[in-house]
Amino acid sequence: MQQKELIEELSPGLYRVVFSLDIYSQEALLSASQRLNDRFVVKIDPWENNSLSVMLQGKDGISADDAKNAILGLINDALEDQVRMNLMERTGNLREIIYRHAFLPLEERKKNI
Amino acid sequence: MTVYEKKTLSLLPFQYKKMDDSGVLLVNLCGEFRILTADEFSKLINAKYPEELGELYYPLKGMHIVADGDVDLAVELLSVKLRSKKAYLKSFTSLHMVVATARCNCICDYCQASSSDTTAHGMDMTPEIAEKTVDIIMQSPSPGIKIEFQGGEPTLNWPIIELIVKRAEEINKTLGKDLSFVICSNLMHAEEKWAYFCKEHKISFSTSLDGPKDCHDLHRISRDGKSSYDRFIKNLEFYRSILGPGACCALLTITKDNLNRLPEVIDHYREHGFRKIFLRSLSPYGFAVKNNDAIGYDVGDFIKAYREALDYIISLNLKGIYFAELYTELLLMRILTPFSTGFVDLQSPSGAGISGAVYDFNGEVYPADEGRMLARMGNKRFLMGNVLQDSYDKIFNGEVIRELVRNSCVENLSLCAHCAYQAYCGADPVRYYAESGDIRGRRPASEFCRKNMGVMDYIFEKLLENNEEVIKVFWSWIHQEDIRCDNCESN
Ligand code: SF4
Ligand code: SF4
Repeated sequence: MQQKELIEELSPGLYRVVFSLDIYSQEALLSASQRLNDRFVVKIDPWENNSLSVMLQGKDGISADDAKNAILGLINDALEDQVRMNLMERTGNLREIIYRHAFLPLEERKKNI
Repeated sequence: MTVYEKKTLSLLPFQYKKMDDSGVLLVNLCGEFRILTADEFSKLINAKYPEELGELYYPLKGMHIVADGDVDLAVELLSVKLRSKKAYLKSFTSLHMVVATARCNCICDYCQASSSDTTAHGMDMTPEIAEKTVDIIMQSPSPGIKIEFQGGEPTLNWPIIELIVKRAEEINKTLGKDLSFVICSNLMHAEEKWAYFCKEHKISFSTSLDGPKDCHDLHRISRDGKSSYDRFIKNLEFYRSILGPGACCALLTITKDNLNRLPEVIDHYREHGFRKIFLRSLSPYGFAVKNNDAIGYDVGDFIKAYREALDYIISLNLKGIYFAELYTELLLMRILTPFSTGFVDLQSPSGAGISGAVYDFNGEVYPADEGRMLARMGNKRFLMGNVLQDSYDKIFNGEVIRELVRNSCVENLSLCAHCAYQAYCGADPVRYYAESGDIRGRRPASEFCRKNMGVMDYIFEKLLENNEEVIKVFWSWIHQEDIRCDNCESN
């Protein structure tokens, strides 16, 4: 697959990547995109066919090569974050129970035991 | 052959991070870690039954990453461990920093407190404010209270130090708290009567040393134009002769001038009898902001220098010379032990206000030294109250402290919430605010995050190399033990 199919360069320094919401959740895309906010201005919009468009405008000093590499990184990060979100969904409930239980006043903990 | 019970597998909460070569780092809720290969990791997240994990099953069950039928037990154990790890929250509030004066006999170009001239008026704490300050401090429910005198140079207002120490001890006769005192002094001036007062009241000194004379004098500038280093060394020896060799600890401030000379700085610390160093980067407050172009550096450069310095320190230890790096020691405690390690600048929720508080010379109370420094720069965003008008409850139960706690739990800050280092890290909302105008911070751009991430990456790199001798050195720091043997070079 060629790189241009993954990243679209709309004008010099302005890029778009489209992600299908059938595969990725909005949370995963927000989380992955946020990691680039030190080097890009990031805008996320709904896109056709149940997708999201992530538009990235490079900030000062970022070269075209670095920008493309960073955006390729975003594609991997989105996948990574989707795995994290899936894990979170599977374990989030237990996480809450553990936290609640850990911070229960001692008297209540004793009652539970 | 291992026989597994036919039960479905439950995943328990954990964070993970892909390490460059070594595989995937898994960290559970209370900071216990394990490294898996990419294949093992993929097996873990796809497994439905214990047998699909093969030999990995029992180690992962032991570490509460997976559970079979008995999820309740795993939840109970994890919650007890988590409660132990967060035990520092019970000490509300233990560290009380009192600014005896904002005047100073130095004018260091990185001074975060934006100190004033020795002749400035209205910059000293008055006896009335000092008394009220002690009364507020001693209402803290914490069983341990540490009062740290800061400045400016606090000894320029010595009578206030004596007043506070005596009053706190008097009140403590009925409270029976574990009360201690520290004076943060540049050691430009010392007096025998001060030393004996400190001896009588078990007061220790915290001071600053930036390296050899040229390094130290370059930024730690005396207002009288003479070397600050010469007086520092003389008075250090003087206090040690009366208070004992361990009575003074020193802090290093790293500027771009000593950043690439850290091994030399470390040797200098050793030559002067220090057995620990804190590789402390510049903070974005006071004169350090104004002079950033002249003294600052990029976080990446700091991390590079930290890695080299840590390697150097480890190599000293491997030769039998005990010497520890304090930040690494703190993080190793968090990574390798089940114990609670509160550290005001790196805990979740942040220690600002709940673990430490600052009482400015004019009675204003801030949740952290940085809050007071921002106030000196004209921004009173973090003012909690004033000892002259406000009650303990108003100051410590007010909106400032509540807002800080609500917004400084790494468990729900963006990026931190999914970071593998979450269990070891913390938030510094006042610093975040100074950096970005947002108390929740902006990661990954945040210098605070980049620094901590870089430091922890290197510590894990070292741990995962699994060099038995290096691990022994790390444990000696945790146990504060000198691992020298008789044949080793003398320290
Ligand atoms: S850093 Fe300390 S010694 Fe230096 S000017 Fe500031 S208060 Fe004084
Ligand atoms: S501050 Fe950075 S290193 Fe620390 S938990 Fe948050 S994301 Fe991780």
